[in-house]
Parts: sequence; C-alpha cells; structure tokens
Amino acid sequence: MLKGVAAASTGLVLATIVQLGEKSLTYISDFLFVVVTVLAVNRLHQSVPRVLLSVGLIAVLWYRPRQESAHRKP
Amino acid sequence: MKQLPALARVFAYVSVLTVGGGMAAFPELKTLTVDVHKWLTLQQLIHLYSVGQMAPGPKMMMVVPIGEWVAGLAGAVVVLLAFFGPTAVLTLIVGRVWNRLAQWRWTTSIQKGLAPVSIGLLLAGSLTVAKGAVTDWITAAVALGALVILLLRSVSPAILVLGGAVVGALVFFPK
Repeated sequence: MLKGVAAASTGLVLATIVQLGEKSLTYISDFLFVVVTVLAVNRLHQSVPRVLLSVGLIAVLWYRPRQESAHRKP
Repeated sequence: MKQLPALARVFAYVSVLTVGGGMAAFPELKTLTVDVHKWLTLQQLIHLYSVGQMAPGPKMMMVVPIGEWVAGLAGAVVVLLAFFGPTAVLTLIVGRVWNRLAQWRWTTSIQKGLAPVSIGLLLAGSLTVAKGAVTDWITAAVALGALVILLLRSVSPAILVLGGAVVGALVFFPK
C-alpha cells in the first residue's frame, strides 16, 4: 500500500513544482538556473546550502538592477 | 536520550534550508537522517513523507515521527521545536525587514534570482523521492497518473494519495 502512496505523492509533488514553475519561470536563464541547481544537488551531490549560496548568488547577480531600468522612470 | 542533541542539531539545520518548501531540504534531510545518522531507511523516509501528504497541516510534520522513533516522546518534541522554531523566527524577521526594503533596488533581483533556485531545489528533492518511490512501471504509472490528473483537474491531493494506496494494496499486497 505504501508503495502506491509514495508513487502518488511523487506525482503530486511534481505537479506542484510544474504549477509553481508556470508562475515563476519566465526567461531561459530561469530554466538554466533550475537545471544547474538540480544537477548540483542530484548529480554532483553538493550540499543544499552550498548550492543555495553559489547558484543563488549567481542568479541574484544575473538579475541585478541595471542602469537602464533607472532611466526608464520618468 | 543521548540522541536529543543530534536530533535538535540536524532538524534545526535542515529547517533553515527549506527555501521554497520543505521538499527543498529533502536531499539534505535524506543525507543526514539516512546516510549519516542511520535513524531510518530511505524507504521509511519516503513513506513518512508520503503519509504526510495525506495528513492535515504542514506536510513536513512528517519529520516528528523520526524524533519519536529515535528518542520517544522527548525526541518528537525536540524535532518539532527544532524544525519549525528557526523558520518561524526567520520568517518573522525577514518579513519585517522585507517590508522596509520594498523600495531597495536589489529586492526584485533577490526575488527573481532565488525563484528558479528554490524551484530547482524542490525538483532536486522530488527527484530524490522519485528514485526511491518509482521503482517499476506500476509505480511510474501511478506517479504519472497523479501528475497528469492534478495538472488537468482540480482534485484534492488526498484523494489521489488514497487512490495510490488502493492501487498499492491491490498490486503489491503479499499473496
């Protein structure tokens, strides 16, 4: 019974992630950061804090405030 | 009783990693509870998480039974406080600071940057679960079925998990 519950839960979590991704992922770079994060944790077996700090920092810097956005304001 | 400090340490640490949701910390939770401390097996952890999906309240309440298994009632209380305490305090602090920083130029950058990383962490966690939960074509069909139904229809997740339980009972029941 628990095998079926575990499998259904997996589908459930994946559905939540897909729905979350639809709302939050806009640019190609967003998808790239998702892939890099997954690979770092699941393939390279890096710890979550390390991935969060490294990939998170790069992602925040990628979306850093640009000079032109300041010019757009009247 | 001598495991209480370790329980507090592990779950307080895992607690602050739940960026985007409890699932984000699942790989670290698995490493610490299954591989390092050997408090339970990966299958037991996955089953706990799965049952937590059906229970009311936060899904990550499923960590409390781990404390109970390891150190009885005291263990359960320690895990409960260690896991939910730090995030509650952190959320309170960040929430207050965040409102004050609404006009700060980097606020949008942080939100935009951390969104894909937190989704990546959630996906990494769910893949860790999937490795242990999806082991043959029947479990794959159940997972895929739940995924498709939830994306196409507005169904209570508890019903799908119960459906999975019925399939599991019918297919995997020892003959």
